[in-house]
Amino acid sequence: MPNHFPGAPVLLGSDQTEKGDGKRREAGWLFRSLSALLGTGEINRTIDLPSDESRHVPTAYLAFNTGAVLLVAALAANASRQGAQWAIPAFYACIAAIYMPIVIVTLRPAMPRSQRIANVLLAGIGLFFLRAIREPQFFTGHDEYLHWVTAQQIIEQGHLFSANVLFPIGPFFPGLEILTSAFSELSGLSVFDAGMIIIGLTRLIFIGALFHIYEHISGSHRIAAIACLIYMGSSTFTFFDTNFAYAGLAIALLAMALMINLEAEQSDVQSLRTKAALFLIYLVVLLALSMTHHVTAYALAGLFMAIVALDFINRGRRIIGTNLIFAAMAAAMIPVLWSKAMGNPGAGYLGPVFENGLKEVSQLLHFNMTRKLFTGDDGVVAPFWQRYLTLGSVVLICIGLSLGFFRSLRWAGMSFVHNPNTTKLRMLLTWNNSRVVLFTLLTLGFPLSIVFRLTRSGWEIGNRIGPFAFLGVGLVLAICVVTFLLGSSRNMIRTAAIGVCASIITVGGIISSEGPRILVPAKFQVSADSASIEPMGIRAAQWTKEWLGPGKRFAADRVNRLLLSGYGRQLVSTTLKHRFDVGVALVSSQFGKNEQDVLERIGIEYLFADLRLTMGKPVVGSYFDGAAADHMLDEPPQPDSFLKFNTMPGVNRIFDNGYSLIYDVRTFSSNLSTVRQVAK
Amino acid sequence: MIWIIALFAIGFGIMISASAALLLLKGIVSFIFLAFLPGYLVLKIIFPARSFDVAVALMSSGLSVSITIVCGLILHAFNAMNAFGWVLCLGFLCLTALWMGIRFRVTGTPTRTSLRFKASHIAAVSLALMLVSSAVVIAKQGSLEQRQFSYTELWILPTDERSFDRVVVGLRNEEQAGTYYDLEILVNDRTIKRWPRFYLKEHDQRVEQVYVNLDGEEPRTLQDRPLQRGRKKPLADNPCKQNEQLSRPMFARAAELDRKPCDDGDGAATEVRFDTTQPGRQPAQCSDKPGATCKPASDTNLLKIKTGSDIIPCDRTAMKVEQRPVMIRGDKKQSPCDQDRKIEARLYKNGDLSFLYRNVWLSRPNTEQR
Repeated sequence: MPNHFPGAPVLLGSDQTEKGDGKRREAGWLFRSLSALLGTGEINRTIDLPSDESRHVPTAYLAFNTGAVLLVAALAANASRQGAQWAIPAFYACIAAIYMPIVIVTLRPAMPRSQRIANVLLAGIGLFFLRAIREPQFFTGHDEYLHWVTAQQIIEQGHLFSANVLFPIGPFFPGLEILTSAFSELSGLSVFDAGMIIIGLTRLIFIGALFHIYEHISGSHRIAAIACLIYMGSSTFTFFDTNFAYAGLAIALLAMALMINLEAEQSDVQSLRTKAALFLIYLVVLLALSMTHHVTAYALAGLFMAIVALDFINRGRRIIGTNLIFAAMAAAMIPVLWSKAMGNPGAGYLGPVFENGLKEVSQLLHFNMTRKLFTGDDGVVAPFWQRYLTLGSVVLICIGLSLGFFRSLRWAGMSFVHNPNTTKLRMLLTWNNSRVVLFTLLTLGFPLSIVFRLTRSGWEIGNRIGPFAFLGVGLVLAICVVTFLLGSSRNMIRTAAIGVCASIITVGGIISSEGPRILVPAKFQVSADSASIEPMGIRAAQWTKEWLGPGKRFAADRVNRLLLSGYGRQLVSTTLKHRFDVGVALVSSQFGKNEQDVLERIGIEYLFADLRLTMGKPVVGSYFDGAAADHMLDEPPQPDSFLKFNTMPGVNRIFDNGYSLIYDVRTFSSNLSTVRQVAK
Repeated sequence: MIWIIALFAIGFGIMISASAALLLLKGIVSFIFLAFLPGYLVLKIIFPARSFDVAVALMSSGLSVSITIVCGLILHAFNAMNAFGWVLCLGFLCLTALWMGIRFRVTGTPTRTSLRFKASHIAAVSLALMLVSSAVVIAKQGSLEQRQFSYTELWILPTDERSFDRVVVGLRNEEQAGTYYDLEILVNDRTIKRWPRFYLKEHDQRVEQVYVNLDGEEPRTLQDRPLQRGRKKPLADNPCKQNEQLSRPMFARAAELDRKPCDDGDGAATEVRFDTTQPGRQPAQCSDKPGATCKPASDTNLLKIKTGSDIIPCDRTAMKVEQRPVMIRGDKKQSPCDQDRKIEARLYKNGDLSFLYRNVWLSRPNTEQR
């Protein structure tokens, strides 16, 4: 019986099924068809056709399209600030309008390599500008403020490792802040402007390095370009990883380290001196990565160790390349040494995140959902089109992985065809490209990230697994496209259909990360980061610096804490740092001994009461730290709770703008000087 | 070699210059210096024959970024994380890489790649750049114009940590329009100062110092540093304590004074002579000028100071001193410094006097507890 799919294999044991009776023959046909669909047989490797410049759209025209769409996106962002309902759908449409034409053009089989690179870089930088349009004036992300404070401290104090109460672990990984502060000091730009330029640069470095990695390991610039474009469908790529936070730079440095290692393994690099020099610059990149982000540095070590392990399994007794072994050893040692030198700050920080995440996943396995899908913590439900696009994105990725997984392993040289000379196990453990095997196996992280995303605490873990899982998803889906779905066909309809599917994956990924809050809304929202940070709050924080001086101990809610720390340069209290939740003193209806105790223990000098918190439930799930104060509140806090200080003897209301009040509560800080000394 | 060094020198000069006019140039030069040059020069040593392409550009940038981060660690060790330190460190690294390239003759013949662009492509890219720039500018403008809240900031603070006799009252107009205000300062529910109907433009602020005694006026010599034991030295940390100290010698000396009846035209009075020539004994308020007359306010328990000649010919005030010494000395229970004062600011917006807009208050700090 002929195969219905191109390249359908002669399957393991298929010779026996053909000899069977009718039923077995039917089953054999089904099995063969399924195998052909999954791609366990031979695959088409002639995928890059000679380029034909007259038949594709030049990158310059795509750039013009990107520019025009960005202009529309800017108008949509402004309309959202005015309260227009169409703004968010229009903004998502803009994302698709930037991304889809580039994908459709890049999918074509005959195209010069340089143009593929240019297209991929254009898509990356085009999506980055969406972020610049969303936050053109100041940082609005929670994590951005954590790093901004550290960068400012470096500029002001001229040295590293100053304590950051908002983010105690941050100063020990100051890679991004060093880079930004250096650029800010040399150029005279603000930290915000310098940070945006640095993030844009790291975006380009990452995409370029990723292209080279994919190209090296797949041997095809077409696969590399498509894989890069599909990688952009990772939920964190467009916005989360372009935040002014260490993860964005770290993933670029990870890609650089992998790229340098691949360069060293190239056949034309024979000289020992060149190899040594490349290893030296690899070490520099590795040190920079270790100084930037702990988890990504450990992930790189894990990737190298996995490659070594796969090489060992594959080659058996044969010698694994010394270059790879040294690279893996260095990747494992340098982050650990850096972490040790810094006093191992990551353990206390990451431990609770993993602990809570795993606890919630186990609850999930017992069908006890802790997070309601498509519903924000403030009760707002995502519109239906966003829900369907997100689900569509996940479904398309799953289909793509199903179709591409075995094809990808076949691309790595693994065989699923029965060979009488080898055992089945040996046959399955033989391949000629461990990196492709590793990237294929990384796709198993994708369903894991989805499971974590279904939980409240594990959401963060799922979000962090995503970028690494997508290293594999990009490659596997690209191999699926070029060897099965499209091949070397120039059929415009098939090309466009794949372009649409890729756009759904990307837009759905962004929705799963940003959802209905992708743009700054017209109205203030309670504890909503980008929708809560606005000029009045910033001005109040600046007032504290101007009139009270920096370095005062403040208690405030989640958002005002960021502003007070960033713009006001104040020492804010966090549960993570001080082990007490001072929010209790603010939201409790009575000011009793316990509340006074908390203020005394931490040495709080001023309370920042934002009456806008009484307007609604917190969008991100907590008003303060998600600790004691938040547990006290089933409903928004009462205004009377904040205003109880008005009549309290010795407490002064020193600032008032009608929405926010600052109370001087130094009367309770009995041992203030001692506290200050300890703080110093 | 010379021109390379000269180029470097110009680059360094631009980077460490403080001129605002050079901001754009500084930005570009700094970016190249930080994010491209170190990595490129190092890669040039390793791959001398490699032509410049996208891969080299990206590797150069990635390596430069990594080098900068590691340099930051070195600069931290030398406590030199400033613009000059960066220029020195990265400049030294670049020049060393250049020198190594020349010294070890790691030269090669790079394969040239010719880049040809059609005019239409150049036009499309230029237009794209213009559109992107416009998009960012429009978004920035939109963000600047988004003002959800119209408000006025009002604050009251003591002028320094130890004094609650003087406070700073400030207000700032963020109403998104020019606004007329009326501001009242009250002490213990009694108005002591009022600024009727004044205008503030948007973003303008008005800051006033207010003496929070009961009449709201400044004791003239409070600004002088009191003389004590022949040299200028603050009498006490807390100005309230100063007042206490000042009121006592005033009464004591008044008792010592030589006085005689006189006629100032309004009838009989008492001529009082103040001995203010001894610096160690004279009250601070009456300092500097001999013969100062201390005049108690008629209906308050605060001191008012009036300077005069050595001998005051005839002063009704002095007579009051004699007749009502308790007014000068001050009753400890009634002293404004010793009682808890509730200082309140009331702000009315746009002449709507029935509308109490804002109310900030300040009580005396509990110094004992502190």
